[in-house]
Amino acid sequence: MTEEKLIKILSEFKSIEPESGYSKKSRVLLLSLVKPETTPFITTFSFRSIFDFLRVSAVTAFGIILLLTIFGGVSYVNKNFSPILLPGLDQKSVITEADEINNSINVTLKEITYLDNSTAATNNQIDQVANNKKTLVTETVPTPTSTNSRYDQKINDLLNKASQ
Amino acid sequence: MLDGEKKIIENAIKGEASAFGLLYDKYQPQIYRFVYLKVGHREEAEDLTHQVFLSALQNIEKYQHKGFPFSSWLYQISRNKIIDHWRTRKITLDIEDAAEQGENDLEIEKIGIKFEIERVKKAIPRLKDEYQNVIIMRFIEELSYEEIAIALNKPQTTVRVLQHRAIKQLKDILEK
Repeated sequence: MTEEKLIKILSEFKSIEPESGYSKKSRVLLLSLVKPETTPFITTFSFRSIFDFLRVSAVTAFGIILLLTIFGGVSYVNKNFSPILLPGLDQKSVITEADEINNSINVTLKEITYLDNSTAATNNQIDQVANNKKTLVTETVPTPTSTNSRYDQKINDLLNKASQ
Repeated sequence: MLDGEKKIIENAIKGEASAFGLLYDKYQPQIYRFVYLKVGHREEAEDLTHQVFLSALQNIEKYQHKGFPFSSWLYQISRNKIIDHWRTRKITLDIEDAAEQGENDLEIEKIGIKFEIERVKKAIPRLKDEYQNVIIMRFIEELSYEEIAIALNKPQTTVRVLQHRAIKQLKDILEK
């Protein structure tokens, strides 16, 4: 037998395999004996978990700071650089002043309304009085009595004397 | 070698059953072949192979990955187990008996070369132990000289010499 043929025959032994039933049983038996590595608490809890926690915290804090910076910046720009705002303008005094103007306008409007109403009422009363006077003049004007005219005469005389 | 074998071994050392399962699935057939061709008996080969992996599981923390296949370490365990097997049971199986026992176990279907295969199979256990190791590792498992050297704890040059002598002795046995 040549060496080449011998080597070829040897390579045929690669087809030798264990029975599948045996392999499965052996595998299950072996893996049932595997015990997870027990590490002390200090190792399992150690720096890795702390670093993980710190990493999450740092990301969260950075996010919050970023949001605050953005909102703060927008607010600052709006407050200080807005085109509708004038430098040195006190908002509180402006609001107070506006309220006062508003109140005075309201008072004026009330006065106008009141005067308007009172004018109308006065006009009515004048009209009524005018109407009444006509009636009185036409109907109840007293005719001078003889007594009154006598007294009037006396008064006139006295006044004449006094004036002389 | 398995992809990411180093990581798998690390996980197995940590006690991850699935990682050890991967190593078992990969290397169990070749360790079985190695043991079977040396002891020539299926049941004994199964028993010894199981012991090899049990020992590997129990001592995996001592394993140091040096870039070589995990099988190199398993072969070392296998060799020790086989030596212990012969020592403890003091079995001096007749070569012919062992070959006959194995005849029923091996189901080689290639009829044309079956006879010659059987002859070679019977001849292997008659070789010196270190010749058997080299023949199986080199020509059946196709390991490199470096891997064999690590598994047998011998220099590569010695492995080459052993291979040459093993082939010569095997041919001599077959020609008798």
